[in-house]
Amino acid sequence: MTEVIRVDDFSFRYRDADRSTLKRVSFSVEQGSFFCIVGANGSGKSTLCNALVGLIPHYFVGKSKGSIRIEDIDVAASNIADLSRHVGLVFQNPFNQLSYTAGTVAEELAFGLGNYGVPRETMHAKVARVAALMHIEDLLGKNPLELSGGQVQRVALGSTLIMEPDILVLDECTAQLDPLGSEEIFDIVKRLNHEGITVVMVDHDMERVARCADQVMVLGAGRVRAMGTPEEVFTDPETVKRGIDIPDYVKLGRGLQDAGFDLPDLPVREDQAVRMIRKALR
Amino acid sequence: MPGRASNGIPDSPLARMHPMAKIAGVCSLGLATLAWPDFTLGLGIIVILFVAAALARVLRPFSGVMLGFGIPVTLMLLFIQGCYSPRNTKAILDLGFAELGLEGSLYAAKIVVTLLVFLGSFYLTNKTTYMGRLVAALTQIGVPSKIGYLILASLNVVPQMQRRIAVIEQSQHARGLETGGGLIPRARAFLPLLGPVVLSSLTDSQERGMTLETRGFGIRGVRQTSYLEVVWRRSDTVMTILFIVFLVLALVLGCLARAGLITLAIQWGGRA
Amino acid sequence: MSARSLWRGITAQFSTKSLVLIPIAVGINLIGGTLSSTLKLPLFLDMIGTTVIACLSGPWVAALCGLLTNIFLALVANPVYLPYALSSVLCGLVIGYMVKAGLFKRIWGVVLVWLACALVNTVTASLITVLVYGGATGVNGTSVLTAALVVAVKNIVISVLSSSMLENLIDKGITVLIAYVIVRRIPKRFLSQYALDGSDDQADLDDLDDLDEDEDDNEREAAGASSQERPARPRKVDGAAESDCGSSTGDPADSDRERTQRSER
Repeated sequence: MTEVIRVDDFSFRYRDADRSTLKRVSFSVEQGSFFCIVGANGSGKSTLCNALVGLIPHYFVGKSKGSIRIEDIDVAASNIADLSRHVGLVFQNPFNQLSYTAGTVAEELAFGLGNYGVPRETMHAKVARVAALMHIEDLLGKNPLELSGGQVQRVALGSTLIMEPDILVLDECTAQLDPLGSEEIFDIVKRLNHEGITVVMVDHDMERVARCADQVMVLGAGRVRAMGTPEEVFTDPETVKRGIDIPDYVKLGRGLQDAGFDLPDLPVREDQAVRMIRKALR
Repeated sequence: MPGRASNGIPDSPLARMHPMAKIAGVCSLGLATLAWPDFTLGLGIIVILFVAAALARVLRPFSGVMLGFGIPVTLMLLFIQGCYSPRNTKAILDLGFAELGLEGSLYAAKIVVTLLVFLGSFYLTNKTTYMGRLVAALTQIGVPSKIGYLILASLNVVPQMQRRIAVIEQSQHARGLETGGGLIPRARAFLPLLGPVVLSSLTDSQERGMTLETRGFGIRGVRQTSYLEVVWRRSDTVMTILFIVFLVLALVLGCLARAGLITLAIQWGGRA
Repeated sequence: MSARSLWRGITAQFSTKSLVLIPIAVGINLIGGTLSSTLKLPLFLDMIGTTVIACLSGPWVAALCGLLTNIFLALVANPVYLPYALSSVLCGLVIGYMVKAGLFKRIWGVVLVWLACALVNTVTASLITVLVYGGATGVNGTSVLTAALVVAVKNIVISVLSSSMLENLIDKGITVLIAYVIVRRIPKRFLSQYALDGSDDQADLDDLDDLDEDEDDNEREAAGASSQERPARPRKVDGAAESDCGSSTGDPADSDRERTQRSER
């Protein structure tokens, strides 16, 4: 396994801010893995996501220390345009992820390719492929501004994937969508991960994090507070003390333990919970 | 994809025309009218523009704009220039309180036709051109993508903001805030509602900039391409040549006429 | 300043951050028109966005915003507005450079911005009205006022100038006031991303302020401790450095450390 993201002692403070948003953050992500970042509001998750795609230091003004390497490229020495072929970002508000230059979804998807000077024939082929992947073939001729939030978010994910990045950074990208819309996005992300794309995801839905993540990192006040497998992080009593929500299954397990049941492991996923309850009932 | 009616623009010869050829047309017709010594040429072009509007199936809105602008501005200028222009020498009509002078009236007529030619040809271009095609055409000739962004983003963002304001206005109507009181209460009711829209739009721009950057907007040294194909056809070449010849002819004849070297067939125009 | 460095300064204002603001500022300009019609005022109020963007991104971006506003009006409303782009551009530049000189921070400065903007707009717009339209455009109340004045004083240029002056003093007064209120309310976190008052981006980057280095080390040991519990002394030093010198470096030792950090890159 190779490391595709390597963050070393990274700190960042926005210009004129009273304190640093990120403080000596260090971690690495392996190729093809599903890496989740959790933490309370204001813990620096979004700032970290922006740093991973080069928006820090190339877009946001502030002061940074330490280093971030994406597929062995030094982010600080590269630029956002070059980095976007390696790492893509999708964030919360769908309508802020439109270019506002397109009259149709097809043009919207092609916007990034146009900036790189990709020939028109290639563009058409890639747009068709991404539209099929995102299930938005029927929307290609529509005006993106007239779509629903869930549809726009799929268009936004498509516009990111059309650059063919190896790493996908998702910053609460389903927070503003209804449950159905977020599941649709999520199914696509899971499939992409199975196909080999590395996913870094910030999310508040802990059941989902526990279900998908290979690694979970807990951020608090700009620092890494804990890191490990979902089992390690969510069953650690410290996690709750840090104000992090944990999957209901863990709470269920703790409840059963308190009630006198002898359970060796606490469950963090649905299947584990089912097994645990079967065992307890026996 | 020429010929296809797209984005609410009805299919017509004018809609199929290359956007650049249309821009050449606006410049040529407008400048020719400006260069011509009197209003006669402009009047002829206005008639042709009405025909073109009919062909492009936008006659009704076109007439609305032309008359809606043309009638008040004609009256206003006839009044101001016709009655009070310092160059008036020959009175053609006594209005009682003032006399309508010939020279001022002709000057007013010249201004009105020039404005109407620019207005009409510009309006026709605008109504028969999908802006995405215009920007694609600009991109093809190497205009930076930032210019294209500004044109298209303004056309998309502004109506979106206006819709948000309209929603606020409606909710105000529903609460009966607008009907009550004079200026100060109305301002007091409206401004606090406007503030959040303005501020959130401004702060939204930060994320929109992030989106652009992560899609390679800031790239340097690459010539941009576009998804839409804008074909330059032989008819576009023909039309552009015609526009250029027309402008040159109008300039030459106009200069000669001003210099008094030739006399134009129609003598009732008077000089601007 | 050489022409070349001036040009570089101008192009530097057109960052993506500023470009995305332009369509929004154009939108705010047009909302001003909606506002004046809702309040039944015979005004335009079409430079609120231009003034706001002048405060954020500088004079040339404001000038471009003014130009685009008029092009947009010409495209969607009435092509009559197109020639007045010249006044919008000049006003954008004037406001931008006055803000750059720090005038938007004081009340008398804001008054100066108002008067300058009204004056520039009066002169240029009147010239356009006379030269392009022969005295009146017939699209607003000012035309009627002009016509009435023509009857009274029998001079087209004077009539256009005085009706325009009156209109502009009121219009730009309200415009500058609203823009001032908006700029005051923009969140600091957003505002700080722009080179305010034209202070050079580069200069700001050069004297980066210090990261909470001491605090970092202390807190690293006590992971999980609340950030409120950090020692009082470094915090006080931090605060003093920031409030006293603004963007300048507080402590020579810090800047040295920073320099080594930068050279390592």
